[in-house]
Amino acid sequence: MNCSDFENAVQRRLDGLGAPGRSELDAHLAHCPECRTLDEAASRLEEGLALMRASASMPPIGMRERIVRQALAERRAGLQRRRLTALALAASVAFAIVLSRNWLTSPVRPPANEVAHPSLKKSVRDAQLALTSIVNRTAGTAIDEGRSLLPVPTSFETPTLLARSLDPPVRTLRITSSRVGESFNPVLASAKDAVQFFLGDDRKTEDGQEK
Amino acid sequence: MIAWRPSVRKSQWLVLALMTAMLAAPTWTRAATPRDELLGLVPEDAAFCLVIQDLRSHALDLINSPFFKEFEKSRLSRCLSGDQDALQLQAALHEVLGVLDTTWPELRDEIIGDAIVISYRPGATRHDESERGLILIRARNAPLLNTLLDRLDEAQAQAGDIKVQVRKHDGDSYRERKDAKGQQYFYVDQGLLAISRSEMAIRNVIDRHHSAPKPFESTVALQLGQLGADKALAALWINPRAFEARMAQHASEAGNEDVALHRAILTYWKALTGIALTLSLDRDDADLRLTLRTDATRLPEAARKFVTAEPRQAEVWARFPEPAIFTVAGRLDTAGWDDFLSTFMEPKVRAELVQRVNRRTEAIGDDFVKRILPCLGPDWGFCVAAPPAGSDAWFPHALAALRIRATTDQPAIDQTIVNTLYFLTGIFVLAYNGDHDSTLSLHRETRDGCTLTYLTNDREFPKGLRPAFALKEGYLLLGSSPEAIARFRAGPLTAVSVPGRKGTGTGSPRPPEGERGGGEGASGANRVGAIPPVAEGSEIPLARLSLENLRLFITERMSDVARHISKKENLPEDEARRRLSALCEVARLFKTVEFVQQSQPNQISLVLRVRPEAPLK
Repeated sequence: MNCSDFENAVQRRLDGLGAPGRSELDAHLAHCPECRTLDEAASRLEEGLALMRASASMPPIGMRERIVRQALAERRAGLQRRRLTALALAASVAFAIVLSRNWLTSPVRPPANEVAHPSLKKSVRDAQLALTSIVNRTAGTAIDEGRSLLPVPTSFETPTLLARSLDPPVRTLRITSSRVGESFNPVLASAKDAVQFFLGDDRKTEDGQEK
Repeated sequence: MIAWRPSVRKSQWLVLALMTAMLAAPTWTRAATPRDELLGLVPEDAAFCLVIQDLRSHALDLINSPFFKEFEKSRLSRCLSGDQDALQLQAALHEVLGVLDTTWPELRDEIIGDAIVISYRPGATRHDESERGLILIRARNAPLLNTLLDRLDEAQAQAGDIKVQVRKHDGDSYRERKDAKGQQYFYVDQGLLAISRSEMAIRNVIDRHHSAPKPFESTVALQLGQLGADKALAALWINPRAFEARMAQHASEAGNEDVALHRAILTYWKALTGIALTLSLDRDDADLRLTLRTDATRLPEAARKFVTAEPRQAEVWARFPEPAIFTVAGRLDTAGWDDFLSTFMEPKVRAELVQRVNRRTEAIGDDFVKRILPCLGPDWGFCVAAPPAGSDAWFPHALAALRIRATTDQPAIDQTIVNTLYFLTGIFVLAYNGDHDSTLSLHRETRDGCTLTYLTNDREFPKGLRPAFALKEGYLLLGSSPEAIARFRAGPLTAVSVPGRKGTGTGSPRPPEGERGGGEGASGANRVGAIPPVAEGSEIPLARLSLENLRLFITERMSDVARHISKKENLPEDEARRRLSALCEVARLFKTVEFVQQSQPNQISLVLRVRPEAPLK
């Protein structure tokens, strides 16, 4: 079984269509940390859905498809997400304001859970995933819409001769600026470590390798 | 009668003693704030320190603000609140609060509303034992804090996520919470909560907490004060000293061709004494501010000039058309920048770059870098404005301006540049017409004493786009049309303030209203007078996006803009209209987004400022 087969199996399991035997899945999970993450996300989703059905506080309409899509998309969109971080921050502020409209101002206590809670840590992780998804999507949409709305004439391209003529000096400056960026790597790496440290991300895989 | 006299004397002494104590120890009284109390517990060698203060009143002000009410009515709010991810987030947070049996207002007002401090120090190697992270919270409701932590322990222990043990240090106790990833340590005392994955860090907090209050502010608090970041809602302090050794090591590992660059970066880094990134909410705006503080004496000569030079606003702010949708403008001392950039390059790399640039600019003159570059600037800018109302040409007026200064060495440099551009444009038109069905036409004419060169292509260009260039008032102008170039203000300038600007400076020079005209060539090249420096601490605008003017432009020209986008993006026109309407909905909430610079001796701040239509408080 490869990763693609595993993803399909997870999708079928969440859709209630059955899936290959657990032993086959476990054999793949034993050597694939990425799919382990996906499997955990799917298990959390099932637990969360069970909890929500029990408390009947939130209807799970379209949620399973969305979360599976989200988990799969997240694996593919890591790089793009980093680029969008700045805009995502702005979007998250807007989102926090929206969220507060519904309940941040409400003094009403959420009902106590009637079933055993799956895991507080997992709920927090779900909240992180949902927030990440919404801010990235908002930022991505903002960039795409902004690009399409720029009134640049389609036929007016950069003259090839000019572009070719400017290319060598521009390339030198570009290389220099990228090397300037690289020299701040110790600071950036520490910032990344700090975020990992506080968000409690797994810093090592089970076989002891750095992620 | 006899009895009250001694008591009055006693109370007088008491008042006097209290006043003396307060005067003698002003820093001690300041340190009593929750924020300062927490900062006193932060290790002095922290690399990053994030401080969030007074979240309670900021949140309440924002929730009750006119801006928030407007936002709630907006389509953006409806879209976001009905989003599936939003519902998922709401469900997850609902669960968390349910387990703790609390509400967000209670958590915000009683636990995290006063101050939160998060500090971090990297380890000697990545994620080793010497790595230190610390979260500190000062809760105003100590019993509630204890209750919530007990509930948290109970819920997590029941779910099998953690095992809790009580440990002792210096006669005090703290909790060890063991989970799948290792240990977490919680120390709680009378509303103070400290959390860390490092036991040593928690023990250090206990030691500091037990020691007598210090009659001075902590290092981080002092630094934040110097950087003007002590009043912000959120402030991230970066300690440059914490990274010096790592950067030096990184520099020593660099390849031969990068040695100069890394050496230069390290020199600049060593000259930095503090960095702060802050977020502040005022009644009329929200500021995101990056402040760099330097010791100018440690900077190389080329960079010192930029730090110590009197800040001046670019003159083009006063010459660009108003009302503008977007403006960006600044001053760049090209000769100085050449020296500055040279510090980052090995002499061999720089010589190659200079040779490449000179070879490609031979049409303007020999030795571009040495003889032509100093003639360019310092003022430059770019502006986009709506076309005048009633004009059937809908395409926005775009205008780029670069000051050209004639020198004794290059007395007619402006004419040389414009003639070269004319020559290159001619070649471009020939090449374009050879490859395309539609043809470009090159025109040259004189308007208001200004010689304009422009291109037309009625088949391909949107209505109102006729790319043009000209010399005017000592500037080389590139515009979206001759009409855009005509809107560049000419004539003498008078000093007025830039609208919406903070600070006390006299602002930019501005020409008298309605004055038009212009000149070209060497006669206009040196006409602009010296721009006075702004007062210390005043702000200099660098860029401004007026969402108000953008919305007006789109609303007035909806049909034309939608048709253009539909053609460009291959979209149905209705879809383009829908997108434009959505953009206007967001733009309706805000007046402007600005990027400004604020300079003080040895300190520079770059501020991203958002001004909403309705007050934030």
